[in-house]
Order: sequence, then C-alpha cells, then structure tokens
Amino acid sequence: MRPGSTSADEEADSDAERSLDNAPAGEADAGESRDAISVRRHSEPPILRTEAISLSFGGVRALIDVGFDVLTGEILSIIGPNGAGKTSMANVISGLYRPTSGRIFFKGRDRTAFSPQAVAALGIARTFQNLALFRGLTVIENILVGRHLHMRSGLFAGGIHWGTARREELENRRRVEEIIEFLNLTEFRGRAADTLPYGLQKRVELGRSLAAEPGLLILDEPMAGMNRQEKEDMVRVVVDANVDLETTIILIEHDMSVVMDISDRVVVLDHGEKIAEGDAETVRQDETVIGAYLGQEA
Amino acid sequence: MALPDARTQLPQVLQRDMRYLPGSLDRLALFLLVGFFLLVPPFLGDYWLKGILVPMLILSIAALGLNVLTGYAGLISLGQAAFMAIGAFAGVIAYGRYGIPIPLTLLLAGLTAALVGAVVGTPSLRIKGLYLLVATLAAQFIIVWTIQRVPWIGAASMVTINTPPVFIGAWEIDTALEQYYFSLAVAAVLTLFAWNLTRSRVGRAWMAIRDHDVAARVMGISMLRYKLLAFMVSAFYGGIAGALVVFAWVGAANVQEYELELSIQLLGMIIIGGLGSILGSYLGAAFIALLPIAISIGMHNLYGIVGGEIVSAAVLANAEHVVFGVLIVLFLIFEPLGLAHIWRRFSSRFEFRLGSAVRT
Repeated sequence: MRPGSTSADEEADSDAERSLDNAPAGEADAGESRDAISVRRHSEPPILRTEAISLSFGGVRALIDVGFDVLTGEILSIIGPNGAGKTSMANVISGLYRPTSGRIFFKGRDRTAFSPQAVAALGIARTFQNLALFRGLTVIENILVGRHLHMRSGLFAGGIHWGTARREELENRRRVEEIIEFLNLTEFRGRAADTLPYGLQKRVELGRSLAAEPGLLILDEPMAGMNRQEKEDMVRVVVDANVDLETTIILIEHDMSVVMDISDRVVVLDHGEKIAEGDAETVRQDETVIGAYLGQEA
Repeated sequence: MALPDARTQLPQVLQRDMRYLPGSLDRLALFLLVGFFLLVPPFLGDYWLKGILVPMLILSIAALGLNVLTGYAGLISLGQAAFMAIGAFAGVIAYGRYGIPIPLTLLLAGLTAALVGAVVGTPSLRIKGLYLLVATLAAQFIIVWTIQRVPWIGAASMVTINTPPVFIGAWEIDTALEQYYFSLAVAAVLTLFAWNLTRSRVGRAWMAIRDHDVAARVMGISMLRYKLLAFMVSAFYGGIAGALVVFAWVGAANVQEYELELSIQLLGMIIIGGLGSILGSYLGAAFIALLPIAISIGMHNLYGIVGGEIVSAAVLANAEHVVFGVLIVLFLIFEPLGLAHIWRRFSSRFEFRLGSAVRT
C-alpha cells in the first residue's frame, strides 16, 4: 500500500456517500442543451476516478502514475501519440489489465481488482481499437450480446424457449431495434457482421456497447482508419449517445483535431505519463503537448 | 433481406426474425425429413434399422453435443467418446443393478457425464486450441482407463456388461423398430432443446466466446460459467448417446467401443457436417453412417471392372479410413462450414430465385 493512501480512502468514502445522496440528480431532459448539461455535471462527483495508475510489463512501463477524474455526463478525451499508453489505460479501466499500482474508483467505490466481467456489471462498456465483433453473428445478434447483462434466461429457459425466454428475447430484440435505428443500421440488420464494410462494423461495435446501456462508455479510437465522411458520422453518433442517451464517454483518439470540438475535457498522455489535462483550448496551446505531437523533447 | 417496411409492424418483424426456419425450402425439407423418419422405417428391414438408422441417430446425438462445445463455444475436444462411455456404464449400472426406470436412467447417465464434463472442462478456462485438445485427449484416456480399473463399475472382469430386458413402464423395447422409435424420440427432444438453446442468450454467449473472447468478457459474459456449461451440455448429450447405445442398439456396455477412434470420428462428423450447425451434426452423422455402404458398393463395382479378387472386410475397413481422412482434409480446405453450409447456400439461392419469380 502506498504511503498517504489513507487520505485518499477517506476522500473516496465521502464521495461514495455523496454519490448516493445525489443519485437521482442524473436525470436530464433530452432537450436540455449541452451547455446546461455541462454546467450541471460539474457539480456532481466524478463517475470514475483513477489514482496514480502504473502498469508495467516486465521492464516496460506502459503507464506511470496516471490519474484523472471522469465527470458524470461529460465526454473526456484521452489523446496522445502512438504508444502513449491510451489503450493500456482503457484496458486497465475495463479490467483487462490489473494495474501494477494505483487505484480505480467507480461511483466512489474501489474496484481496482475487478475482473472485466465485474466491470461490465457495474455499467462500464467499451469498444476496441481493432474490430472486435463476433464475426459469425448477424448485426442483430451482435447487438443482442450487448444486452447479455440485461437478460436472465439460462440453460433451461433458453432450451425450452417458449415462455419466459421468448418474452425476454422479444423485449430485448425491441431494444436492439431502437439502437439499430439510432445508428442507421436498419438496412444491414440481418447481415453477418463480417460481411460489412469497415466503417459499418465500427458502428455495429458501438451499437453493441450502447446496448448494454452503460453509465460509462469507453471508445478506443472509434474513428481510426475512417474516411472523413465516416468520421463525421461517427462524431455525430458519439455526441448523440452522450446527449440523448446521457452516457458518460471516455473517447480515446490519436487524431487531436477530431476530438477537440466535442470534448468537454482532454487528458494528454505521452510515454505513459499524463502531460496535460484541461479543456480543449488549453490543451491545444500547451507547449508540452505540442512538443509531444511534433516529436520534440519538451 | 428482412427489411421492415412501413406495412409490417415491429412486433411482426421481431417474430419473423425469431422463426426456426426462415426459408420455405428449409421448411419443406424439414417436413419431408420428419415424414421420412416417422413413416418409412416400418417398411425397412432390420438391417437398415439396426445397421444404419439407429446408430446414425445415436451418433447424431453425440455429434450434436460435441458441436455445441466445438462448433458453438469454439472449444475443441477429443473426449466425446469417453463421455459416451460414462453414459453407457452409468446407464447400465442404474438400470441393471438398481432398477431405476429407463427415462430416469437416461437422465442420470447424462448428468453423470455432465458432472465429469465440468471437471474435464476446467482447463479450458486457462488454455485453448491445441493445448485444450491435448487436455481433452488425456481425459479420454483417463476416463476409459478408470472405467476399466474401478471394481465397483464391474467392467474389469467381463469388459462387457449386458443390460436386462429394456422396459419403459410395461412396454418392452426389444424389436429393432421399437428401438428405432425410442432413439428417435430421445433424439427429437434433445435436438429441439439444443436448437432453442443455441439461438438463445446462452447460445449467443457461447458464440461470442468463440468469435472474440476478450470482447465477450467485456460484455459481461462469464468465461467460467459458459465454458463449463458448454462442456456439461456437450457431455450430457454424449452420456445420453452412450446410454442409448446400451438400451436401444447393442444391449450391452463395452468399454472398447468408446476408444479415441470414436472421438476422432465424432469430430470428423461435425467438421464434414458443419461446425456451429444443428443440421450439420445430423448431416455429418448420416454421412458417416452411409459412407461404408457407399464405399462397399463402390469397391465391389471397381473390383468388377478391374477383375480383382473378392473384396475382404479388411480392405473395406482400410478404404473407409482413407476416404474418411481425405474427406476431412478436403472439407477443411474447401468447405470449412461443411455440408450444412452447402445446403444453406443452395436454399438461399433457391429463395432468391423464388423471390424474383414472384416479383416478375
């Protein structure tokens, strides 16, 4: 245990209490403007807090003392050059990697040691940088897998099908249709996922994670490898998911220009360290950040 | 494809999405198949029933179980024959020694196999692919060895344990036709269950693990639960198939019938029939059941032409092995999704033609 972690504990505990008190405050009208949401969200405790996260593979240090808060309802972008540790951070948050040191709090509770499955049950979903669709399944079925934690049917209900499992299946397929419509995928709903073009596969993957109705959504380079039109479509969908579905989003991007317009705040990583944090404009003008992107020693 | 247009309401679209068989050709084929299996066998001789249809049904059940594990959950196993052995001996002991009614005995045989399946499946939480294959191979040998060595089972001295006359209630199953319908009923129930299951939340979880296990974990799918469940369901089907060998086919449990060769054969069946397909399990089993006949006819004709000596059983057996091996390789290269996929292509092309014919 790190020295000085006691105070962090207390802080986290009081956060937990406050988040309980404020729980119903997370509702917002779909019509509420982004500015209004942005004002309200900053008065709430962070939905996710990472504290001094370090991660090493053998001698290679992928993350060094990285810590930041993610506020309820915001879009937080994590940017940085290739190999900066962005995806490692996503993997730590989603439980795929156990950090070498440091702690993670979700809604005020310590969940550093949670498995990916337990993290998913908390309401954290993510997409992957490289396509991670279930190739043999159709678009509908892929998105239905995203409903896994919202469904109950097990071995016997599923094997018998008629009765509870069928009702549940219909109900969840209806939710899936809403997402398919939201993402303009209606035309492709019955297609096998691996027969779709790249940009659409990315969108299906986003749909799959949205189907989980996550409180926190981590998007790992959702626009990588896309052309401009596809990028603009994706940006619109991300903003819609943030505003209409009230999803807090961590957006990981390599390309700084993409995220600047839609991010509430930006965290910049380089060589596994956090080199800047703040709103887009501040970060854009930060000397260290410019240095990191241009490859100079700052 | 299934585009919901303005006239169709969403609930109807959803119901349509969930149909068992979307295509009309599929429905026709199923109708004909069910008709054949129900109505034709009384007119077939004992050779066809005992030599082809009953073993085919039993192997289909075992293959179906293996397909759940390998085709759906993506966990490869060379131990399915051992689970059949467990089912066979659990069955013969439960019915022969303790007089438990046949339906319960079948259930017990399946459950015993499923229990061992859960144990055999535990390495799958750490290893996959080739390494898992070797782990299940070890299980195959250990299980068969154990059955021979544990005195309580009683296989050691005699190797074979005969079953007493098979009664379900007051109905004695002793003719080939009765044995056939008994197997058919069990196969039908198990097939419907597997068909539903693979289309359900559980089936999707298995396929998610098969296609991308990291993404599956991140979606909240428990590896522990679903991998072990796949092993248990697979072993359950194997166990019931093994018990059917005793009660509906051979009339005895013989440990030598469940050697590695049968496990390999079952794996071959689902590769030829179609991985991840209920239909494929049946097509593969039918193919393997009919293959010896086709080979025998072919060899006789061949010898008739080239004028060789009489075809011996040994030559036929060897020819079977060669053809079987060559077929598996050919399927893996040219049609990895097996006969079921050939059928699916054919039927969807038919549907497409049908659709355009209706429109014009």
